[in-house]
Amino acid sequence: MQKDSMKICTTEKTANRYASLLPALLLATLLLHGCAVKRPVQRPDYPATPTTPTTPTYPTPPAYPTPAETPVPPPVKSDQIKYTPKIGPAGSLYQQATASISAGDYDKAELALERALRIEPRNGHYWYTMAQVKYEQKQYSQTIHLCLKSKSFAGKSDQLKQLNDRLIQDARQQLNE
Amino acid sequence: MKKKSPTQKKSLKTIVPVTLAIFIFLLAGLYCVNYISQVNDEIRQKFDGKRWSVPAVIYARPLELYPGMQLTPDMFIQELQLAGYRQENPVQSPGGYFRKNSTINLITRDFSFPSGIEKSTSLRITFSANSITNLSNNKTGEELTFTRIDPARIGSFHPLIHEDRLVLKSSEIPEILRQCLITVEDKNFNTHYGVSPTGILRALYANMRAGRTVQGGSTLTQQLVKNFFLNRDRTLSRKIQEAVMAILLEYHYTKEDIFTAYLNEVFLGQDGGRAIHGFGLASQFYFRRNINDLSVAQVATLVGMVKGPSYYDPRKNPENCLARREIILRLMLDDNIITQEDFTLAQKSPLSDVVPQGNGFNRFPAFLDLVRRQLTEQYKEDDLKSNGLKILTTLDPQIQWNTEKQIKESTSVLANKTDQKQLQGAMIVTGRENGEVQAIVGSVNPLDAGFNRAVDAQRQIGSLVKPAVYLAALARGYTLASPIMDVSLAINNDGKSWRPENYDKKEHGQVALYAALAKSYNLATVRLGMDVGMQNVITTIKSLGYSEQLQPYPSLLLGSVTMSPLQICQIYQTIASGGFYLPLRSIHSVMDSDDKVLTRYALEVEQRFSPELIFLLTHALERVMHEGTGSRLQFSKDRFYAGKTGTSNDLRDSWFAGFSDAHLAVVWLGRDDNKPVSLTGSTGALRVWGKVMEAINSNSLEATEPENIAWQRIDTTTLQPATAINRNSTLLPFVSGTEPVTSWSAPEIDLQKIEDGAKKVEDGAKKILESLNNLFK
Repeated sequence: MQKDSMKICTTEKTANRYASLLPALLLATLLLHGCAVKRPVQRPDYPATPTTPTTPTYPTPPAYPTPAETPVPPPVKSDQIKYTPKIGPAGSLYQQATASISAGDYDKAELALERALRIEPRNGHYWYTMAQVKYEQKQYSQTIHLCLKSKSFAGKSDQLKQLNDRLIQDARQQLNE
Repeated sequence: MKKKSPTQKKSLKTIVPVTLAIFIFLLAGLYCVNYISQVNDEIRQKFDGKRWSVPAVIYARPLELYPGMQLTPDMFIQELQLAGYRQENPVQSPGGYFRKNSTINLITRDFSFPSGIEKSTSLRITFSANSITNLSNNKTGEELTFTRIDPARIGSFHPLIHEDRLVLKSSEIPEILRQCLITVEDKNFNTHYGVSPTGILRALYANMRAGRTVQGGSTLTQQLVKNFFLNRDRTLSRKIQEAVMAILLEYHYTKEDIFTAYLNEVFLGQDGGRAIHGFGLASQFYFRRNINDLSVAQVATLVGMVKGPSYYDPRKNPENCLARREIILRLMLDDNIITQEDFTLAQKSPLSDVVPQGNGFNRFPAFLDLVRRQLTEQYKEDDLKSNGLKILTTLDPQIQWNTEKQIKESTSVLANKTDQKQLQGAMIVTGRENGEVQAIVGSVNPLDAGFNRAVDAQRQIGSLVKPAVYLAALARGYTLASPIMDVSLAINNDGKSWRPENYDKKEHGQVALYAALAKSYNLATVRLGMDVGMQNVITTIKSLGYSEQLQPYPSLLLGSVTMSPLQICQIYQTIASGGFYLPLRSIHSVMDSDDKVLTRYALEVEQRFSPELIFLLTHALERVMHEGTGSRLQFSKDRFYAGKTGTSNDLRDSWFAGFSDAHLAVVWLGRDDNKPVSLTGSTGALRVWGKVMEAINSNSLEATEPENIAWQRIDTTTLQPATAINRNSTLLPFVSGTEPVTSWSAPEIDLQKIEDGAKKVEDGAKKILESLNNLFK
């Protein structure tokens, strides 16, 4: 729509000739005026002039912030993942891992997940499940980092992001206790 | 004077010697008792304790198999042979394989993984030209989604000259071997008390009749004592000691215990500095078979070798061996251990089933060296040499072979080209997302066990340091399109003036940040680094994974610091894995001789940089390969990688570090005496790197794009936003909100124009309205 309006406004002479289009023209004018005012002029100056660093960001992992407003969740259990893996070697290993989690054998689950990740290293769900295993093994700091790793592969999966955020919060809570 | 009576004389005469005799007898008895108790202690101590020093064995990673996996039949067979598999048709027992066209049948062997034992399985694998198309259980016909092969033994930790054995349990000894050994070596084993007087007499008789030694009178127990407790002296006192010990051994332990110990102790051949002891290892060493897979003829061969492992060696002296085997087979037939049919069949079988002596053991010195270093952080040297530990590692033999081959060939070509006979090199390949060391080469002659350059060579890193400088800048608000001045400068440091120069000795004026990195401009980098601050650059290098001290000299910005290829690998691992620090691992787990897991080296990650920043940096590193110092690399297929070249002063070191979809690899080339090698990063190391990536068929890089990324087209000269019609423009990623705004919406001038235009239209409309109004008036 904006582009169309543009065409109209840049062809001023044509507009004069077609007086019958007056109302439309008026509308367009108003719109454009509005657009022009609303454009973000407060953006950082371009080209960016390097500023002296103010806030050192290192070494304070995790640097990847998690939303503060996520609701306080109940502890995440394995049955909360509704992830059905692709059929294939990594998927089968993933299922083996979730079965081991259900049986309470976290060491075995971890080994199966490492194998699954060797075949499909950028599957966010596998990383998340690994984080769950670490949580059960009471390695809370590692849980958080694995969740962050999982989130870095989450792409557009809001569900996976939320699961990770919840687990991060749980792990933080455990660390504070 | 009173004369002594004759009786008195007589009694005195008898009493003195008798007392003396009794005294001597008692003394001797006491000595004997003392001696026996000493020997007894010695026996119990040694037999109850750890009987043998078994060196730790190191295994390669187990080969995972699944349909769709990239693997050729040839590569697979190479891997099977490394793991000690033998070819046989039809495949009958564990450790055997057979290839027919594009199908390979095999039977895996039991193996205890940290997750538990995986039982031997009969597999049928079908291949297309370069991948697995089908995988099934050959017995049940069931299709499998995945499986893995028991891993290859690639080495062990032991002194230079040592005994090696695979210790068998009593339950693992096949009956035929047990009977055969008793028949041949000690017929009365099950009834005697350690020594066998009838046996000795029989041997004496037989030897006298033959006029030479044809039979030994020693029992199995005596032989065990001789090998286990005593040295090889043949004195009478030794013989007595041997007999005493044999009787004591029989007194304390069961026949079963003694027999099993004998079977594991007996010497059966020599493999260089390694002495082959026990039937378990001999069976593997001569036939690549587990002990319970041996044929009748093979059992007879091994039992025959007890008498003289070298004289009856089936490889060196096949004729002696066959003659001896014949004798053994006849004895077995006479004692009804085998049937006439078995006998005839065994008699006919040739010795061709003896596999040639392989040399896969300790074949990867640089990798084993790395494993040893990692292990000695936790284990004592003695534990590694004697406790029979199992060490499961991350070595990928396929990648290792390819890396070795390429580094050898490429450096030889480069050495000829540059007339550098002393060109050396090192390379490391790791898994991009897990930090597992898959291959490591420490010399252009990979079999050299000497100086491990991949770990120990400390060399100037040159431009390899630059990604850290640019990452520090990105973290402080710079974008890939930020203009940097590539113009000469002088920096005062400790009263001295330092004037860095570009490699081409030119200045390039205003350049975009991404281009300065891609083209590895020194002047732009130094300006950027000084602006970001030395301390920030150092903190970034450390966050990337470097653990040593760094001095804040400005020359650090151009890499005037020395590091090993392994240290570089650790730094680049953090970039390759999206900003997550992963400690490099060469060991997966350590298990004890009972297959209990002692240590697990688990996958651990730690976020050090945001995925967005690493995504931007990775994009710039991809530009290195497209348009920068890495663009020299030509591939037969279209491949996209990310990486950085490094060249030190006077061309002394040629580096390349880069990653693909699955692998990170670091190459260093140079001379041990640090003299120039006339190679830059891109004319030297990059070539080797490219060859290896091609050889291992490493896929193009697919960087995972975080959500917060916005793409924007930029004019490459003005560094202003541009449209797609602009030929001198390029598309760059930005962290959302930091991208320059698009041409039609952002720049003030354009807005002004639009507003002016709109006003004109408005004015025009007003005029028309007015005239209309006037008209109606």
